[in-house]
Amino acid sequence: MKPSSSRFPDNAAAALANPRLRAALDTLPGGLVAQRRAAVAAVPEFEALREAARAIRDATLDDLASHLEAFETKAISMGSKVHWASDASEACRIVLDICRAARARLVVKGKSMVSEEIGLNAHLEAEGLEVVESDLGEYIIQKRGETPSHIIAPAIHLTEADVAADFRAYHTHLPADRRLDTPQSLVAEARNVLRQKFLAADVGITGANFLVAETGSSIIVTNEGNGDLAQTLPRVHIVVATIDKVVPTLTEAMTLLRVLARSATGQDMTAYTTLATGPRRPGDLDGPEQSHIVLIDNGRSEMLASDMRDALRCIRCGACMNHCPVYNAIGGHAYGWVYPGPIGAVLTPSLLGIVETSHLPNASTFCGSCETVCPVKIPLVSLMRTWRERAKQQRLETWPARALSKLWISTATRPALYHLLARVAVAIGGALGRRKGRFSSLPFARGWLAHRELPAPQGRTFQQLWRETERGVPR
Amino acid sequence: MSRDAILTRVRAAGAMTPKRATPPLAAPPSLTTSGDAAIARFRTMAAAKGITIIDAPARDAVPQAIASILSSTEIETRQIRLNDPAMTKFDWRASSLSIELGAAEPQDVMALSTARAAVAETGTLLLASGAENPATLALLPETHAIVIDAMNIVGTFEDALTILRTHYGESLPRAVNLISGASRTGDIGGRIVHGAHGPHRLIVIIVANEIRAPQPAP
Ligand code: SF4
Repeated sequence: MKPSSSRFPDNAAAALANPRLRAALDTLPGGLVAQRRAAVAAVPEFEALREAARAIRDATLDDLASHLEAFETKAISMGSKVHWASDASEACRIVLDICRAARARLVVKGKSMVSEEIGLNAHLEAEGLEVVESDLGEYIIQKRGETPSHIIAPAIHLTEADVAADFRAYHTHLPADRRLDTPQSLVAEARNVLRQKFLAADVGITGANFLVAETGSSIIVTNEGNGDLAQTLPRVHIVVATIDKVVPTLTEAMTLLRVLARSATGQDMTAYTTLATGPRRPGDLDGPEQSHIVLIDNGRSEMLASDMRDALRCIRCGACMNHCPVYNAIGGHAYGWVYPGPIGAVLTPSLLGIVETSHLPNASTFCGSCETVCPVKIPLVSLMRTWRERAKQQRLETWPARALSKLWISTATRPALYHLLARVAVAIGGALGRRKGRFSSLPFARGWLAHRELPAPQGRTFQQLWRETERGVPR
Repeated sequence: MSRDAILTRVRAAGAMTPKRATPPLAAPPSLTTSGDAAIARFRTMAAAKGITIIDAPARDAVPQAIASILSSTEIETRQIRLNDPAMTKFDWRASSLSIELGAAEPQDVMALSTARAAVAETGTLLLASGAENPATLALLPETHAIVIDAMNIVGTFEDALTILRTHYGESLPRAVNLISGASRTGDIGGRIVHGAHGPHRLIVIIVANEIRAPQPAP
């Protein structure tokens, strides 16, 4: 997809002014926060689990090349074909070649963020393939021509009524007078439509939450079971996964699974966690005839060599966005690319470059909630700060921001001047605000004051009060 | 070739830092149970996920147990898809049920599989694909019933992996399905609805009277 991260301020302003988006965002992220809190409270050792998860991810990344080779060897011995792609276009070409060799016409997909990142659907469709997303949220937004607004709840920005209207518009083969006024009726309709696609598909494409070197398996985690159908019914199964997804052993994968669902939805396990290892075996009555795994770099090896390595620990649970006040206010689309929220503010500049994405690290109050909940303890705040500094070094801030920070530096580093200005400002502010004791409008701060008031200063600065008293204690 | 280029870049990046070790892992004590406590926890956790649990005194009593649950629910079928010889050998007709052998077909209403293990920690069933238990049984029909011998109910995922390794050694079956409830989605307005793509309903039959096999060495 074409990124629009450079227009973040406009995107965010539009999101804030959209009442339907507000209505949708009012419920779900907050609900996920409460569910996570309950799930974490139920496991007294959760902090130790987070620490273990962080350590597993760090140790794996330290020796990633060996684990990737071990995974490849084992996966091949279990009958999978392993492909390597340096970038998005190579990955798309590999998948297209597999589809062509299989004479495929219909491709059904499980949820995969990396396929969004590499623009896989558009690439396959341009070559004449029909591509159907099967995760319900992904299906809804695919039909709308939108991108996911959340990594685990892609249609979080839509209400029930939005979906009902869409289904009436797309499923024109169904009776026009059918009732679609409950979530149950909407789910049932999508199930029937998509079941036909599953049964007819030639190729199933899924992502992977983890790749297990010990067994050569991919692991997918879903609640709907759509990924399972996608990797069981079609003749050909293709896994697309970035190189950072590898985990050395099944036991370590289990520790990561213990923190993943709890952090994501507050479930201790999602309905389906599935290990897929190679194609159908002799004697098997179902399963794909071919199993392909496409290992994609697309910027990960550069991140590994950079000071953004910690971000590669991410297991894509979405907790950081659920807990982010900025995400909760503007939703995911404003971030302008595939990964929203705090992890998006770190990943997107890493993958697309800071020039086009310099606003994203500013999409944070630095409250630190994201770090406190991240199951693999990624220091999201300091990584965002690093990007802010880099944007500054490259002089990518807007001119008012640059002018203000220059002004600030030149006063804050001259104590005498600073005190003088502070005294003047506080005296004027105190005189003007004396009657009401607060300001509800000020030049240059109309937006900020639209929803709050600023208490008026009392007329003297702290420094003055300090001097007039004996070190703060009245004489 | 991209493979070598990627591995060279990754190896160069890895060489920049010392290798950190992974501390030894064990299941958290609060999630660990064994024996009867594991069976009790499994019941609680599975029930909390909306799984219907019924008991059968022995495997040959499973058809009768299923017949009675079918008559007490709205599931309208007397026909069950299954392929496990350990289950097909029983007299299903005596319970007024008919069975179809093979993998699941799109029109099947109900299927039956046998689980390799069940995990008390989260109320999860572990199914291994193969000729006896095709993976589609757990995915296509609206109702899925799973037989689990009480002796295969273990405390933690680590215990379940031990069972898996005992059975399959180095080579896992094509699919290992960890199932923790019926198919569900929260993608429409954030409300949970069951039966998104897979089964609407999950029934677990705990078979009491199977002799406890010697536990695999830890
Ligand atoms: S950064 Fe942490 S909290 Fe955010 S999605 Fe990744 S693992 Fe989850």
